[in-house]
Amino acid sequence: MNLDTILKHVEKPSRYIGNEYNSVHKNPADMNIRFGFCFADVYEIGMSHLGMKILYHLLNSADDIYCERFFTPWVDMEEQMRAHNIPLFSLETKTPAKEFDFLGFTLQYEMSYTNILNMLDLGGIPLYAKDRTEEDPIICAGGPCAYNPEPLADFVDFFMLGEGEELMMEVMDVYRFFKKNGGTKEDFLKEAVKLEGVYVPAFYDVSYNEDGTIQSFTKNYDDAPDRIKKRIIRDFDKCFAPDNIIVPFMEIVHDRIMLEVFRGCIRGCRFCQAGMIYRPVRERSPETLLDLAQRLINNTGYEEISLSSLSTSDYTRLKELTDGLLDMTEDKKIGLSLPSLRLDNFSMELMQKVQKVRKSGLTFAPEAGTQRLRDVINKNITEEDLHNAAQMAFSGGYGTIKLYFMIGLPTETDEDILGISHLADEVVSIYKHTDKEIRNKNLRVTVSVSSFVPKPFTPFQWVGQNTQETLFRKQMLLKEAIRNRYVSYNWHESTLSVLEGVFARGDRRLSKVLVEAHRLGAKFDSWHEFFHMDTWMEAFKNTDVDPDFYNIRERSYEEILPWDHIDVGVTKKFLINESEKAKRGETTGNCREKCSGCGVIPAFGGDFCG
Amino acid sequence: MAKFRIQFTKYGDMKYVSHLDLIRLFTRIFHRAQLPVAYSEGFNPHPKMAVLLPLSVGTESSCEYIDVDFEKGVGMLDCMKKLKSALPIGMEIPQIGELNETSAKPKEIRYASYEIRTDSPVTEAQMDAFLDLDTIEIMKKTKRSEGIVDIKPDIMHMGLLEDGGFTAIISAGSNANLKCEVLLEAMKKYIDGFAPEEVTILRTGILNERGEPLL
Repeated sequence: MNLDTILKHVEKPSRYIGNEYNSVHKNPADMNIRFGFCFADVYEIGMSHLGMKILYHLLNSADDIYCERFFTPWVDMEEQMRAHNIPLFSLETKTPAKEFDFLGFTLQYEMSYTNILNMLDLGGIPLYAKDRTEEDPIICAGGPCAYNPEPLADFVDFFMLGEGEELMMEVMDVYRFFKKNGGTKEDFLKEAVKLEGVYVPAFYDVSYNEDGTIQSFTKNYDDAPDRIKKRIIRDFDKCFAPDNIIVPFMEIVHDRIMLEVFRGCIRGCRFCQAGMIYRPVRERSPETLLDLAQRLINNTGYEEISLSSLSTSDYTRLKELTDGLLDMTEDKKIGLSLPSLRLDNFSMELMQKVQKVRKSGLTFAPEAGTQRLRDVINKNITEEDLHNAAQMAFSGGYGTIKLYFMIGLPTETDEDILGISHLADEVVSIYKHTDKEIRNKNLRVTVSVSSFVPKPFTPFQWVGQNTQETLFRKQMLLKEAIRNRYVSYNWHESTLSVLEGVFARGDRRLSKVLVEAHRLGAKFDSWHEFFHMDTWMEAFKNTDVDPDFYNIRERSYEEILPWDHIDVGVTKKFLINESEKAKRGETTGNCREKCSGCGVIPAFGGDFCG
Repeated sequence: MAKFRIQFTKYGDMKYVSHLDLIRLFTRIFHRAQLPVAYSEGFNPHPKMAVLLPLSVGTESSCEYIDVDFEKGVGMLDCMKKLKSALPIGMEIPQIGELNETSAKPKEIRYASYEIRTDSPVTEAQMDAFLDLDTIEIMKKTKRSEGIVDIKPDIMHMGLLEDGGFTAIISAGSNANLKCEVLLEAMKKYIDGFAPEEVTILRTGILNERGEPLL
């Protein structure tokens, strides 16, 4: 069957063509290793992911490796492919997935897991690792969700933990050797597991207590490490960064150059997994970044460049960098976007410079409605900070303000929920007290509320998640409370967050739930229109798994957690300490104020946390 | 200030790049080529360029045109050289012309020529009979309505190719526009046994009233 014939029957065929500018084209016959980089969502989501851009060009920098891309075909394409027996194929050369040496999935969110299974299925590849033969590709995975790999442990041959720029190539070296000298997949895994950061789930056995908690987690292969330590790039300034990223034809979600200024975060918000797992903070120098930016602009033709990090304002040489970028971009009609800026005098001035014409909205994330709860979650923003920020925004002529909050946070009471509404009223009153001459004529305050999902490797990894009913009651309570005509309220059903909560802290027994949900047709679960909670409840029922065990249940500090064998640098002792401080409503200062002893320095050595 | 008309191709997978995506693509091509495109004045400046005649997604072309204003004088050869290194696979620039008062305006477009190849052969006799029809009536759907129209006046010329395909010169532009898909529907209706499943279409020219190319 001619691919052209089916592409005529699908929407957005340019999702599948793979000849975009800067895409890499090599002769497969000349290649030693073929690596399929897989993102378990549709093209425009996957192509927005910075990690994929880095690893794609890194792998392709080796002469004998060809890395190609795989995304989840949209439902119309899947239908066509299944109808015409077309297996999952790579974008670049349209090679069936089954013919690759490796398929590597990046795990960005839990709700993409069914898409992983669907992609394997579309590729004609057995889902369970134990069912695959020497003929099938080796399935590997990495990314933030790999820090609790257990729900996928039965499907994935090996995980790569932490930053991949070095580890990925080390794994390729091992495979090259193995390919030259022969051996089975298991031989390869036994060798690869000796690399720091490689986790082979099959080399470990889990046993369970009667109450369902984990009794023991033991290795069954002597050379496998007891704990698997994540990898970091020590000298981030010298780290590989592609300067010739792919420029898609269709509009993707983040359709711009992303300049990664630093990794890690000094803040230590207790709900935030990224803030813990990406430690320590490592910056790139403005010189490196400006040089990289110039090359990216020349090589892609992109009309927008964005800074990427967990908290742009914490970059120590932000002024130098932004001055340099403004010089570079201003007369070329290249836009500069600066997400995750904290609002202060400097950033206000910067935004005036950057957005000369457009006065679009501003976003604040107080995350919780009262000071007490903000202290609990260690979101070190005071009422006064918000007051000042709002005043500055209104005096600067901004009229649209978005406020982000979470509900379902630990220790939360109705007073905290109502505090969200008070805070919004407060913002409105600051607007009314702003000079009419300088303030914007229109005011719109949007309160956007999401549901908290406890994540591994955070001080809240032991807490019980709110039930769907509780979350709904809180959402309605807030809805009733918001009466101000300038304030609009955004919320969405919490069912997805509840399910995310199951898989975020799940264990190996969830693999059968995933297989069952996949069998029942679950796919694209992070897409509202395809998410059906009923399907999932049926999958839990059919497999005799109680979802509440994973998300609602409060755990004790003594319990063996499914991810305890993963070492992210941050110690359990630190997390327990933070958890206790949270209960007492005590805050912890940021890493630059005072070292909080999280364990990252002893784990990785040196003095990283600048 | 220099105004150019650039002929470009859309071969292979480029045929899946939609009209809207094409404009964004050219903005980036000119950036990469470091050719200074002029921008409109005003609140939301946009690059001054226009693709002359949109092409259906799925149709290849050896002859598309884009008109573009550059901020300052750019040599034609220089422009050609710079563009070459900035193009995606499947896009080529056969020629570039400078625009002046005597150049053909986009509104002068009357016809487009195509090469159509299918898996259902047409004989010379069948083609002649089709072209000899007094009226060629077909149900044509537009966004607002559907009705029977006679497309005979929109068919300027058709002829068989040696490889079994055929050429068609048909109405194009703002006055009258006939899509190849509609022509194929009509052929299915009037030519016995013509039932193609696989069709490839290549646009080969954009022409004025006298059948001359716009560049």
